Amino acid sequence: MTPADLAWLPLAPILTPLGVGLLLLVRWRRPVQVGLALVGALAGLLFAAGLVAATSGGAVLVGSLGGWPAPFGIVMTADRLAAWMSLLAAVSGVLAVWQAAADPDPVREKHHLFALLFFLFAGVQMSFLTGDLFNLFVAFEVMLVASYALAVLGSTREQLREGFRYIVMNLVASALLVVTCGLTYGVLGTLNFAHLAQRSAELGPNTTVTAVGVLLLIVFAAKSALFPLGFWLPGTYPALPPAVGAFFAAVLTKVGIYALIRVFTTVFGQDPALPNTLLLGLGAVTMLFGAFGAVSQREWRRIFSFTVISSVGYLAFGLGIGTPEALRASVAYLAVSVLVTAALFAIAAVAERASGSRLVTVRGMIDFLPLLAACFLLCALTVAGLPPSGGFVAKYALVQAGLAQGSPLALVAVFSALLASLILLYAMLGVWRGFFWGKHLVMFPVYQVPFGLRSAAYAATALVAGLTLFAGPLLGWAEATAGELREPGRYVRGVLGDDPVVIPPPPTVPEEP
Amino acid sequence: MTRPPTPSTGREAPAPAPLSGDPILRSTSRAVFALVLLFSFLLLWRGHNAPGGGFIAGLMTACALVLHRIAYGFSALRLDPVRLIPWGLALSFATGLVPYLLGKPFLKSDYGYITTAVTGEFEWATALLFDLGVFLLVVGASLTIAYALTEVAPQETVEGDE
Repeated sequence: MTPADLAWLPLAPILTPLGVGLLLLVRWRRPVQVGLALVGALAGLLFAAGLVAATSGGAVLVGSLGGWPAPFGIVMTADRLAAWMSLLAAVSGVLAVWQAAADPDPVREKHHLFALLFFLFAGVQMSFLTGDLFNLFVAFEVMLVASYALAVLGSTREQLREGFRYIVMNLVASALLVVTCGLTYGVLGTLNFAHLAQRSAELGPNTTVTAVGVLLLIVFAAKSALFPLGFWLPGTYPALPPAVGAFFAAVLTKVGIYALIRVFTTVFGQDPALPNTLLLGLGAVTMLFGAFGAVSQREWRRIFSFTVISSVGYLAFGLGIGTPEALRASVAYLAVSVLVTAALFAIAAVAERASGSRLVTVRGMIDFLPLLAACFLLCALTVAGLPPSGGFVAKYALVQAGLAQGSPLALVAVFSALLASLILLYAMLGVWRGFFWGKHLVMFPVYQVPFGLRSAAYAATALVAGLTLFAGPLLGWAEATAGELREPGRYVRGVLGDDPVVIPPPPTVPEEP
Repeated sequence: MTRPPTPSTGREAPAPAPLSGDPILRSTSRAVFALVLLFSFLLLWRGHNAPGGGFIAGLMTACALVLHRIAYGFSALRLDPVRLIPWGLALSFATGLVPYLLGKPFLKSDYGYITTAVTGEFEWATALLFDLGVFLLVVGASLTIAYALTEVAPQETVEGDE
């Protein structure tokens, strides 16, 4: 099939959660609601997988809203990277719905937990699939409005305190994004990614465009919780209900990373020196910050929230190196990071439920949850980047790319990456010793965990294991994606067609007599 | 200290607004209410290809309703404005979805011309339905916010005031 026949496909992963979310606003009985949510999440997954299949040959799918062509109308675009991110988000979405379904929460469900989750999915999918900078802002807002509601849904004291910080931080970042959109339009006269790429390439290295790029970098750094702007994350995510927290942790920071990749490879690739230096520096600090934070914490999901920050640091590092190998490693690590975070949060949910405490200090749980211990071990190895996990493959490729690039800053960042991995390993061992290892004391009760919740953790870990087994195809896919990102001309032609864009002259106003 | 009054939805006997007894405001607001509402419907009607549209019409309608609320102390809308939000969203979404399911681009608008004896030739467009959805959504959302703000009684204390 030609890309024109599949023009409907980039919209399907966005419209499905939006429609299902609207249906979920009706007060169905719980089984109906859960069934609808599961079917909706699986349908979204199906469409995302279809996107990956359709773009695997290098096609760029473009679906326009209202039939207005790019660059005048808003288009949804799917290339390899966008389709891949959409698939990862859809997988995390299915896992989140699974956990929410297995863990009844009458109060939050009465206030539309499922519907808000689906609006969040729609916003996330739209951020990945949009082909327009302003629409990216809109997608961020759809995603954030749903996430604000989810962050404070239930109104516990902790949620309100942490949610406030989250909302303020994100509002400031969104305001800056709108301002930057305006600046971009003022400088380049368009907001369509492909058209922006074309125009900024025509302009060549230009300080104003670089300044706009750096502003965008700051916005997306705040969204993806890079070092100085990520202070809100470790407090916010543990305050959320487990299923929601798992999706937030796995996907929301990656939206910022995706935007960084999109903007600095496809769009503003002409003057990479300054953004790359910034990303390398920020990445190097962020991964150490995350690793030290993980060591310092004693609560399940706080530890894992810091590992999320650390993984964002690795991704920024990979992006900042700026070579094709590094981009390939980053794309592979992106997949590892999303799935392992989803798995870790699912494991944390089971562990918290089984021990009845958010702390990891209950010892000897391996006797009661042997399979969970095995799952945790695999995920811990993946986070720390030790063989035989998929995390090792991706981190090895990252470090190799950093060494090959060889600038002093890259070498410092490589050193910090290795150090951060070591510290993360220590943090994970701390969890292992504190929770699974040792002798269980009788004074700590062990609670029964619903099978649905446990199976979600097992399934997520199976996906992580799958990454390990299929590391070869994963790197192959990442290689193809990086190749596509290296040549933005393909994306530009896919969206705008082969002919040059002709802006029609403004209609002449007849002179008043 | 006294308990703060329980917040209401604006339908059942709320605390009277400070200006609600004002005779001048009452008599002018009746005319202004009708005019503003009429103008907002005009904006909604022409919005799909002239300045106007569901968003701005919704805001104007909300202004008219807030004015009514200030002047008379009760809402002219007989239902909870929150309920308008999902219906508006659903209407807009469904309008966009119909062409998508028929194999056209999402949100593609159909249009045509009909001639009636009264109006002469005029253009209809399905985008009007989309605008109507936006209108309902904006009225619902802005009224919800405005009513929530008008119902904060000045003597109400919050945590940390003591």
